[in-house]
Amino acid sequence: MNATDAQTSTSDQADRVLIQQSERRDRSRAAALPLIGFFLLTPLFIRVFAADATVLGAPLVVIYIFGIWLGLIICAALLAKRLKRADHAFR
Amino acid sequence: MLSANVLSAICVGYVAVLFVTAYLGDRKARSGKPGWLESPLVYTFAISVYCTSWTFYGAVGSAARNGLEFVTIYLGPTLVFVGWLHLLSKLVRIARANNITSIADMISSRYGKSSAIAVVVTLISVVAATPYIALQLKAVATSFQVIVAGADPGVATAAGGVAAPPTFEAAFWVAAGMAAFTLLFGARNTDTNERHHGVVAAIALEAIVKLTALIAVGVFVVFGMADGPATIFERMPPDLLTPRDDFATRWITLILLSSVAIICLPRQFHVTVVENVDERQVATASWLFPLYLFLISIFILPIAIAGLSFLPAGADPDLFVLTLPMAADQHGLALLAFLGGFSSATSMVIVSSIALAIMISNHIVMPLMLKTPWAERAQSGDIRRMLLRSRRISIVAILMLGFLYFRLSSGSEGLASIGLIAFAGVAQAAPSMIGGVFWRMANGRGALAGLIAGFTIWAYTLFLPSFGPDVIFTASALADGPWGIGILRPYALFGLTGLDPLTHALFWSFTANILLFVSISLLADQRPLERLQGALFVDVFRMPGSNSHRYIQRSVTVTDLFVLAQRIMGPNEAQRMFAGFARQQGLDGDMPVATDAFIDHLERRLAGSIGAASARTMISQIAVGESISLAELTKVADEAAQAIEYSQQVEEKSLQLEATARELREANRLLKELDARKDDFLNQVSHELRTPMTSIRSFSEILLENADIDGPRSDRFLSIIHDESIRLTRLLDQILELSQMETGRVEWPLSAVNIDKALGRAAAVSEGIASEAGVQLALSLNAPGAVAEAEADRLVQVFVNLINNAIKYGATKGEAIEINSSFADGHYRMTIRDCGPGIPERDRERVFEKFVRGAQPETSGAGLGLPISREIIRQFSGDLVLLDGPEGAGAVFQVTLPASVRAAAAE
Amino acid sequence: MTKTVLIAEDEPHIVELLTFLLEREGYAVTAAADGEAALTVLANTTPDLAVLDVMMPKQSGFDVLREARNDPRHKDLPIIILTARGQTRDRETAIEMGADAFIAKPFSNQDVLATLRRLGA
Repeated sequence: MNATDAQTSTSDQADRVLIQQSERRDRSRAAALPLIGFFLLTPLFIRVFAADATVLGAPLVVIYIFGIWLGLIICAALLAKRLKRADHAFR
Repeated sequence: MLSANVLSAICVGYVAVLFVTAYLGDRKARSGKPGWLESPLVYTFAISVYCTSWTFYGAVGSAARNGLEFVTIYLGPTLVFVGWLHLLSKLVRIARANNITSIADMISSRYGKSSAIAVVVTLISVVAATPYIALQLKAVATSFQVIVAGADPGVATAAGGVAAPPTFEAAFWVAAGMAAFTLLFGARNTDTNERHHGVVAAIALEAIVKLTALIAVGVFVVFGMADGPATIFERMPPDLLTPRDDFATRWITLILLSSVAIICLPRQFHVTVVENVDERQVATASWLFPLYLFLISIFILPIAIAGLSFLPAGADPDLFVLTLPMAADQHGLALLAFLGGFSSATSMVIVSSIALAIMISNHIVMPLMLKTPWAERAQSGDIRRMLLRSRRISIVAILMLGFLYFRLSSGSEGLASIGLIAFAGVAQAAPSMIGGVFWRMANGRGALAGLIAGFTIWAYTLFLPSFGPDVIFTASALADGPWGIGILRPYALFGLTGLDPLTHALFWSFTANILLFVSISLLADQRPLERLQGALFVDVFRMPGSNSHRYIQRSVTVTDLFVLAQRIMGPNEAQRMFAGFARQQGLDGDMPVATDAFIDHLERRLAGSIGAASARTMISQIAVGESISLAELTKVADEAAQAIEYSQQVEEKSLQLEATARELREANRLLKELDARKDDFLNQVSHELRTPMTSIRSFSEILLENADIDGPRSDRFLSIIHDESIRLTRLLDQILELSQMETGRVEWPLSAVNIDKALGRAAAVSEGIASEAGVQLALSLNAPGAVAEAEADRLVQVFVNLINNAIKYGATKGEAIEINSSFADGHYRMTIRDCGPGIPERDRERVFEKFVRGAQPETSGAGLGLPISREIIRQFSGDLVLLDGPEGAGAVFQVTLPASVRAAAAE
Repeated sequence: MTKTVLIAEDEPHIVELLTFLLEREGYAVTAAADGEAALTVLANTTPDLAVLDVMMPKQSGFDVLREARNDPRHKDLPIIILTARGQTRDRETAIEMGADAFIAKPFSNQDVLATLRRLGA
């Protein structure tokens, strides 16, 4: 193995490590998403937002719940896109 | 509006469309090019079989009764799907690696392919699903009647009034139609992995229909009957969204329950896990399915509010979706809504009955048959035919059960509560399944005990009482407990009151289930096969999936295997599979060698048709000398653990290496710099010492060797020698002084010194040199009373040095050197700004180093002035620094000394 | 014709010393107090000998040496490098850069005179 080979394999290894790291980060994000969602949708929050207020004609709590819901969907979509791309690159 | 006959015809027509879709789907799949059938979109639509008529009609009913509570049923699945990477994708991977056919198969497989567990899970599923299927039948029958009743002007008010009790005739025909469909497309073959492309295609179409219908009704209600969302919400009953007393517990309970149900409902497990063809489908469904739920939920509340405010009081909220368009004479829309409800009911019934039929035939019928002599005698393809037959019978039986339940319970329950009872029933499978894929130690006995206990308590506290008083339980048993034993009251078991029946039942059933599951798992040992399966399941992402043959050794003749395979798969399929494997082994003939790898492969293949437990039983009947090598398993598990550890180590190492390399580069740079500075320093010292010595030596040589030097000249040379000697001495003194100060060995007697006065004295001393250089000293003393603990002469020496430096390096003829003093915050500050070019950025660090001198022609110092000055000031607890400033604007030095202001008395 | 010598040196006492020694040998001395001044002298005149101190303000003796060697008029100018620095490297640097002689301070006057004679200037 000459010096160049050694270098390439080191940089390959570094790439792999980076990919692993980013994968691990994505996995953590994926784990965090439902937890954050569950936390924001606990009855305590719902009670807070069940105030007698409206946004654009709809009750605040309705906007809150559906807003969080949509937020979760968007985050999941972004994450899925990232993971699919990474998966593709890896193959 | 429509007569029963016309409506029936429309239903038949719609079903015909489903038939065609399913037929085309099946044909496309069989052609080998599934194309869009395997797209994530179709997969997601299939998962939306979660939205049954309970959603379509019942969610509005729930919203009308309990406000926002209905969303919990969709929030739970949303949370599970957005977190798919950790649970769903693992289930899918395990199922694909092991050809899992159902949730019962999954759990039994995990716990050593246990038949008992498979049976229990199957029973739970069937019992829980029955009311749920009944619910769908009821929804279709009721909606059918409502539409037909609306057609007759005489009973038009029935739409808004109390719905007439559903006729069983309609429900029967609905059940029969669904059975026919399911038989045709759901029980055609016993293929590996139980994939039904045709059914999935039809379900996907139904998913579109129900979503479109509900949104259409929603849009009509919001923009047709009202003037947009704001006006709808204005009509909302004031306390609809006000949280009730048990809001918090029910809210949490329902979110958790629905998140468990989305995996444990047999039909959901079937479409999500068993029908999955590509793990990447799950990634898309992770957001697309929640989006579907979001869209289907968004109009629920407006429809409920519209129903409450536009329809007469007492109208059934479970039918608002239908009765609202009818009340507005929108018959086309009402028909669309009916078809939406019809779709949601039929898709649920079809998928449920397929999933349940697979479970019944694989886990109940098959094991029973294997115990009879018939199995021994079975001929080629017999078992396959038997399985199909049992599956068909199961489908019919399940639908009949649903119909019977519907008859018995006479449809009195609200839609939502029946659905929740079913959820709570299937949820009993959750601890053993989720525990099984994350916890190696989980064992079969614990799972079985937990399942049975949970199921029993569920039945006792929720399911049986749901039939109403005097059906299963007498009214008095419900109220006071059976035989008057108070602690056995079904709705207040062990005296636990204050919870609604659902939370109550879930609390006790889950407590018993989880407690038994965990404690027995901790106490009892695992059987070898359980341990193997546990490892394969829990570490599915790490262990090479399909090679359990590394751990299981057994002998069997290939002929026996072939006979067995033929009986289950049919002769053609079996021959193809055996020949294929023989080719893989590099053999010429059609028969492979019965290696452990092949036996394992065959067992998996058979498991895809008859379930893991039955497949194992059948192979075991013909195999001899089975041994499971736990040593090998431990080795592999260790290897896997080691591989993980190793890769982490590699990662850590490479990060460390990177950091070390960075540090080394930095250290190297510093060393080089230090080396250069050391050279500089030595050069400077050498220069400062050698220069005076050169003069001394050479001039004395001249004087010694030449007697003829005239008087004035020899005097001149002698005075140079004298001057240079003094210069040398002074240099040595300074070095000594500096080194003493640096090592802290100097103790000057400190006293209160008026700093401004010292500065004044220094300026006076330097006045001569200043005027010689043609510069002015602009002195501005603003701290007349500031006094520091210092040594007066030394302080003056520092100031003189600074002023002289300013003159030497920064003098411009005709300009002024500014010297300022001030006092603030207990500190005296003196700044001196010269009018020279300033000190370049790169040299600012170095001006305080020894022997470093500014660039100027005359040499009257050794480059020790600033270092010494700074040391002196530091002895007085102050500091001397070079202030940052723009290049070319003159150098600014600042002396800071801790000081106090005293009355004029000081000094 | 009187030979001329350029002395580039920032220490006044050493300039005085060298002037005395060289004038006694019959040279006409031009003194420069820093590298820049020395270069100005070289730009305008063609001395017969140059004595350059290394550590001078503005331009060092080495800088002056390099400039001189790049100037065709001073290609063969005998140059003596003087230094008070302690580095042995300096001698090699000086010779490599084309100096004819290298003298470390402090020196014996005899060394200076011997070097002058060796250079034949």
